[in-house]
This record gives sequence, C-alpha cells and structure tokens, in this order.
Amino acid sequence: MTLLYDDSFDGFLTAVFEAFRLHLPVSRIVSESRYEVSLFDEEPHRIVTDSSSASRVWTGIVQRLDNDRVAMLYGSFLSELTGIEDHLWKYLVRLFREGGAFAANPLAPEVLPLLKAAEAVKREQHRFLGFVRFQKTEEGLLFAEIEPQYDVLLILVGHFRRRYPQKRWAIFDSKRGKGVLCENGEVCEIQIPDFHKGYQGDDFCDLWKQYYNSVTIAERKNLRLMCRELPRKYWAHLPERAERCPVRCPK
Amino acid sequence: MQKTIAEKLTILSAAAKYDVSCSSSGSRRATPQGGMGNGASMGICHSFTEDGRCISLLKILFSNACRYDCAYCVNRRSNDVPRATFEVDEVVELTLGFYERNYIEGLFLSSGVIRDPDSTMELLVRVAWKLRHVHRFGGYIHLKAIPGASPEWLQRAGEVADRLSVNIEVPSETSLKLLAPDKNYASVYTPMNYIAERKLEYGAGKPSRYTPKFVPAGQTTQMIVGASGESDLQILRLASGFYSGQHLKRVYYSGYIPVNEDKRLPVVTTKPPLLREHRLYQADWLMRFYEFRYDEIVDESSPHLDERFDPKLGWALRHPEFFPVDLNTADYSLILRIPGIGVRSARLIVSGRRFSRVGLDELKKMGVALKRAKYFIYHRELPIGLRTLYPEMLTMRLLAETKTPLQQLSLFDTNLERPAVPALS
Ligand code: SF4
Repeated sequence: MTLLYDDSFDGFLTAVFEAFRLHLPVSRIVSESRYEVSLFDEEPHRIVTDSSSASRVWTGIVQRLDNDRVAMLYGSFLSELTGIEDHLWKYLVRLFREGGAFAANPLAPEVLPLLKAAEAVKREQHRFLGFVRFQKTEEGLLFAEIEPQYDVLLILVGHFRRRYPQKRWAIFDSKRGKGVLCENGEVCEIQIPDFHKGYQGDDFCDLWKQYYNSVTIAERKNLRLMCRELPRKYWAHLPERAERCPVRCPK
Repeated sequence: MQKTIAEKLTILSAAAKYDVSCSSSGSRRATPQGGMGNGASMGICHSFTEDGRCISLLKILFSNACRYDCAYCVNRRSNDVPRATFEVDEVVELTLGFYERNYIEGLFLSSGVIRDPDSTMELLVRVAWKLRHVHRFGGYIHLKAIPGASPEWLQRAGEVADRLSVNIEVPSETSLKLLAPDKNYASVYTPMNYIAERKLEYGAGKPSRYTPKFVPAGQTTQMIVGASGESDLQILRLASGFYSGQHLKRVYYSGYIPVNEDKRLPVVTTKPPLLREHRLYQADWLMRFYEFRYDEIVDESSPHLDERFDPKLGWALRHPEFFPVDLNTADYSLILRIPGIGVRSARLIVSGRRFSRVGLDELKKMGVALKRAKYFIYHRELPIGLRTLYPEMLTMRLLAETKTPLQQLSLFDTNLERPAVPALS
C-alpha cells in the first residue's frame, strides 16, 4: 500500500502513526508533490496530517535515540531524496520493534542510506551559513533569498538568530516558496515575500564585490577548485558571482 | 589627496592577499549582550575566490606604508606601489557593514610597520577594541602580531582578538637575515612564545564563562615555500616544533609567488611551487590528524616530499611490512594509515565492525574510494599472490593511474581545522 502525505515532517510522522495503528502493509510512503502516478500502482492512500499523532511518534523516537541520531533522522528527511521516506520507514519499524541498539551500527542497511543523506544535508546547511547574503532595505530589514538543493531553511534559523539578536532579518527560499522572518528574536514563517525585489545591492555590496575581485591571486587561478567549493548552482544569489554566471566551470 | 574608502579597500586588500590564512575557526565566543556576532567554532567559508581559496574574513592591511624592506614582500619600502592607510573608524565601519550582510565571519587585520612595531600594533588593537567594546561585536577577530611588538601590546591584542599570528615567513634564520634585514628570529619567536605562555596561564585553573578570554582560537604562523633553499624536512621539522612547542593551531605554507625583481630570490618568471605547497599541506594534515610524526614523512635520506604521490601513500609504499591491513582486527591508528581511507571512513569502520564483518562491499557502500585502498586491505577475495605487498609493482601501477592533482589542490587553505567527521559513538 502506498501512503501519501502533505510534504511536511508532521505529515510523514502521521503516516507512520497510521501505518502502525492500523497495521497497514506499507509498500511506500511518498510526499504528494513527489508522487508520480503510474498505471500499475494501486490507488494510494492519502493521510491527513494530525499533529498530535505526529508528536506521539516523535516522542517515541526521542525516547529511543540520542540527540545526534534524532538529528540524523530529521536531516535525512530534509534531503527530499526520492525514496528517503521508505528508508526512514524501515528504520522506524526496526526502532519500534527492537529499540535503538542497532542504530549504533553505521553500516546497517537501515542506517547507512539515512546517514549519507543526512551528511549531504548537513554539508549544505553548513555551506549556507556562509552563502546567505543579506541586502539591507531602506527600512533596515536584512533580506536574503536562497535556493538550496535540500530543504535547509529551518535548520539555518538558529544560527542567524543567535548571531543577530537585535536585527530584523528574513530569509526566503524561492525554490520552495517559503521563508522566515525574525524580529526581536521571534521567528515566524512567511509565505509571500512582498519585499522581495531581487538583488539590488547597496554601497557595501559594491565594496564587497570590489573586495572579492582584489583578493584573487591571478598566478594561482584555479576555476575547477573554485567551482567545486562554490558550485555554480549557488551563484545567482551571491552578488560577487552573480554577474559572472556565463563563466563555465571546467569539467 | 585623501583616498576614498573604496580605493583604500582595493589597495589594502590586494596587499594582504598573500597571507594565506583565512580561517575563522576555533572561537566559541557568544554574542555580546546588546551586540552582534559570535564565533562558529568549526569556521565558515562565505565565498571562494577564483583561485579556489576560502573567503572567511575581511582580510586587509591597516597600512601598506611599510618601513621595512623584506625581499619577498610587495609592500617593501623599496617598491614603487600605491600606498594607503586606513583610519580606525573606516576599518570598523567596513567590518560591521560586511558582517551584518553575512559576507564575512569577521576581520583579519595586519599591517606593514608604519613607524615602529609598537605604534603599529597599537593601531590594530584600537580597531579591535572599538569593535568589541563600543559596538559589542562578537564576530571573529584575527590580528597580526607585528614582529618586535612589546609584551604590553601583545597582551592587549590577546584580550580582544580570537586569534593572533606571527609569520615566520622564512624557514631558516640564515635565509631570514638575508631576505629580511630588519627582522631576526628573536623578533618572531619572542612574541610567539609570549602568546603561548600567556594562553597557558589563562587556560590554567578552572575556566568558566566569566574567565576573561585570551586568544581563544590560538595562534598560527605562515612560511613561504620556495623563496629560499630549505628542504621539506627542514620545513616540516620547524612546523612540528611549532605544534608541540608553541601549541600553534596551524602552520600555513605559502608557495612563493615572485613579486619582486631581486637577485636574492627566484626570478620573476618562476612559477609558484603549487604542487610542493600542496604536498606540504598534506604532510601537515597527516601530522595533525593522522598521528604521523614529521620524521616518518621525510627524513635525512629523503628530505623532500615525493611530488608524484601524496605523503600518506608514500609512507605506505616505503612500509610494505604493515600491509595488507585486516580491517576487522587492526587498530584504529593503523586503519588511518591506509591510503585512501580518511578519518570519516576509519571511524565508520571501527564502529561498524562491532556488528558485522567489514569487507569491500561495505566500504563501497560507505563511499570509500577503493582505487587506492584496495591494494592495502586484506580481504577474502584477495588472491594469494597479492597478500604480500610489492612496492615496486604497485608504484608502477599507481603512477600510471595517478593524474597530476594540480587542478584539485584541495587542502590548500581550507577553512577546516579538522576533518569533517560524522557523529558516532
Ligand atoms: S615588514 Fe616586511 S613582510 Fe611585513 S609588510 Fe613590511 S616589508 Fe612586507
């Protein structure tokens, strides 16, 4: 049986909850936006997200795993990789059946795929701590637009909240159409970025571009290395590279 | 005529770019009450230049109007280059403006010697002091300790900075005397030792949140490679001494780029020794994270790193008696020495083998590149004939497989101070 949920983590946990409650013979759990109808599939079963069911599953997970592993589970979910829910499902089945001891084996078939997905997400999260670029609007709002490969927005918030406790700032993921706004340390989600006008830049932005150009050492030019560390997919929202988009990365 | 801040920024950032350190790691400073900025102990890269180096800090000189005349330096007195000097407030403003837009982790401020070491050091400290105490700035601050600066100013610098560095630049005293007539080893070692001792004193006792900090991210130095005739052995011995003696957090190696016509130096058309520099970074990495001693990597009989291989592979080829290694029984430290296996994989192997045998399949699933490693690992499928390692055979084979890695120099000035390692028990 295929279970569909509404893309949210709570939705996924609700699906897990229902599957356990009703002893469903789960063959797949898929988010609605990634579900592709195929001729041979049976009719999928739509799950209605219910936060209390979700939190019961969550509590069950947290009781059985330490923080690092809980973070790994959540991180792997954010990867949005095809089939990641099925790996999560297998992991959770084993977790609720026999407890968390197996989770210590990174090479277990339930663990390794999640571990790798979570590592990739963590790597991108770490990159975005550096690659988020705020522009300052006239009202003093710091505004950044990002298009990360994985859904890292929510795991970036804590860092910037600690860093800029006095500022008003917003980060908008234009690929997924959602954002966060932080004011006086309070975070809320925003859907429509009415202040979004693309990168206009200010004086500091010009100084920054100038700085970027003048610190390059021409004798050491190495575009391949640059492209590996700063992949092209991120350039559009980096003022220092946005105008160079025609540059090709060497293979 | 007074220069604009933009003109100064161009001159004084270009003048600072040959200092390769740009790391922002090692500080856990919390955001000050009512202020902005904190330390991210793993370090964060905000951008990468077209030469592939990480930009983490606003790296500038306060002034390039230097009184000294070091042969290898663009800013030396005898060069005819545009000169500029910042005002304290200009540097403060640039740092804060860049920081709140998330362009940088903080400031790396160095300077040419303006009048004398102490008055120069004082200017650097004033910038940092103003950032910390007037603007309540908690971001990363790396100050250069000017060679010859007095303990009083080093002390003040250490109280406001996250990291200090004194660059030794030339890896032997004789060469230093020849190339930098205004400096000597004492002007480098004295501040370095002073900082190391003070840091130990501050760290003694029970440090609490309220203990004042003194260079929490430690100190670093830089050596220029290829400007004078020192061997890799001399360089690595020196580096190893800095790590154990002065507790340096990092030693940077900077392949000499000929900027000056000078008969004491390689001619201006010389290509920077990038491959050699890369091998030195690899060797350094082995000393810091792979439990290698410098004299296992190079010795009197072969004082230079083999440019054809990375030093870890080189060691393995010189020591066939340790291989092949059985992953299921060997010590962690020996697994770490297998070419192609990094800290991440070694940890995965050691935690995984408690549950089940680790063979080639498991390695593949973990994402270990077997190209190298397969020759050094004992596994059941290994034909009897290969159970002893014949370095001569292997060298030929590996040479045929290896491309010159110049295009992928990867350890060069990465922001990392330690390898990324998965959280495992
Ligand atoms: S002291 Fe020497 S190395 Fe430093 S800026 Fe002056 S000339 Fe250059």
